[in-house]
Amino acid sequence: MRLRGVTKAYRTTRETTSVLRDLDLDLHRGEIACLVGASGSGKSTLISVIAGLLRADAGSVFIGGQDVTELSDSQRAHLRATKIGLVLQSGNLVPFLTAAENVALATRLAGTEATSAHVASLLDQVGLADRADHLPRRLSGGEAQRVALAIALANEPDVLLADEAVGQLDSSTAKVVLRSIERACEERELAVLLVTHSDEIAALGSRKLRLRDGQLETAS
Amino acid sequence: MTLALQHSTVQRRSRGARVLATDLRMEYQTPAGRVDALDGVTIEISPESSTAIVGPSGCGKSTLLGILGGLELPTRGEVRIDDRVISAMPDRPRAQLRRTAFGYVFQEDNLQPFLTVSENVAVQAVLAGVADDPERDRRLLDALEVGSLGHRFPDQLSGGQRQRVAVARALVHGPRVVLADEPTGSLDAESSAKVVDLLLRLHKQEGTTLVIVTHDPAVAALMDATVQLRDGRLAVVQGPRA
Repeated sequence: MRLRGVTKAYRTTRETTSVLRDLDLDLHRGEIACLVGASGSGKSTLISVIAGLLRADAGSVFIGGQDVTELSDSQRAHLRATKIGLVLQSGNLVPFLTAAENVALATRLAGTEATSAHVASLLDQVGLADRADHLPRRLSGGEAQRVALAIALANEPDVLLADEAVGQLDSSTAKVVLRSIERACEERELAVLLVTHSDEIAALGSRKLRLRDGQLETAS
Repeated sequence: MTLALQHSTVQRRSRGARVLATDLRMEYQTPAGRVDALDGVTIEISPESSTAIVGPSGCGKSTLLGILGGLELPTRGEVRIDDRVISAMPDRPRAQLRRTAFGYVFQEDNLQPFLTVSENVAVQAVLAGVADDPERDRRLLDALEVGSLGHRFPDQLSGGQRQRVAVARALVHGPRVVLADEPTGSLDAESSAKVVDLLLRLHKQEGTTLVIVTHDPAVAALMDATVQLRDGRLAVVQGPRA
């Protein structure tokens, strides 16, 4: 994943707020970069721009050789469904579908029908083989986030974007989810960008970045 | 506000279903011991009617709604949707029924964050095995006054707009029963009133059976009937109103 000169501002009738300013980033396969920054610093905006949910005002976002910013809406939707895995803080699961049905839906949205063996394998990879038939309301917070991770991995993405994916979990549960992300990164050679407000979690990545004044800097 | 629709907004399959719950009991094991969430609840909900389930926090409202909608299995008792005993169904047909016969609206809208508004609605139709029909989806979103937002993503909408999209998703496949669990619990008074108003209009227009859990007496007063729970038991049943 390669970002060059990414710029994004929010405009109202009264003011313009620059969120991302001429931002560059290179993220390689098998690498976990943790992104920290103050509230409102633009972390989620950056994730949305990379995922093509928001259009950048300027700059390029290359994923798998394609510039997301040059794609039409439908092309971006296809790229998002096939090349990008996205895990948010919560609300990723359809509440009236079982864990297995939620995972199968992700592949269906990407234009393929998942075999039950593929779905079972994905849930097994995140340690939830015995939760396949559970509805989200019967899953713990950590289990729900691991199902969300299985969904994010369902279409063999190149990039995994995790926006405060463990932000609502207690420390020990968060570590279980993070271990699943680490394992997926290693086994699938994913490029992972993990947004967190926790320095403890950020220390787990191979790189720690801070978003400040619209630009990325290496954090200690 | 007008809702001038000459025809059914969604692809209507059949009228709303009768829901009959008999002697429902629900027990949970917790570290502190057994909790009786429901204890001997029997209710009958008429086809095409609207019913509010009310009561204090923790009285079993959401548990009851979950059991009526096939999201939970009771420890004891029976739930019938017309002649089908859903509480005794194997997992697979019950899962199928959840996708086809029911529409759900929750306090959290649970929209898929990386799908547009239109896609979120279309997905529900696909899940229910209903033909893809962008024009139908647009009419429904129009009826809910979010027709111009079809290309947007959920995080680009206000809370009230998101919940109206969630209502569209719950109705698009022509469900026989719509179950709403505190659908306005996260909204301000104005947005809340709009969501409830539109939900009720579409319920009447489409002839679904509507069951809504609410803590808001004003919302409950708009329904045909009210079921009040206290400590997992039926305290009061009012209605149906004429």
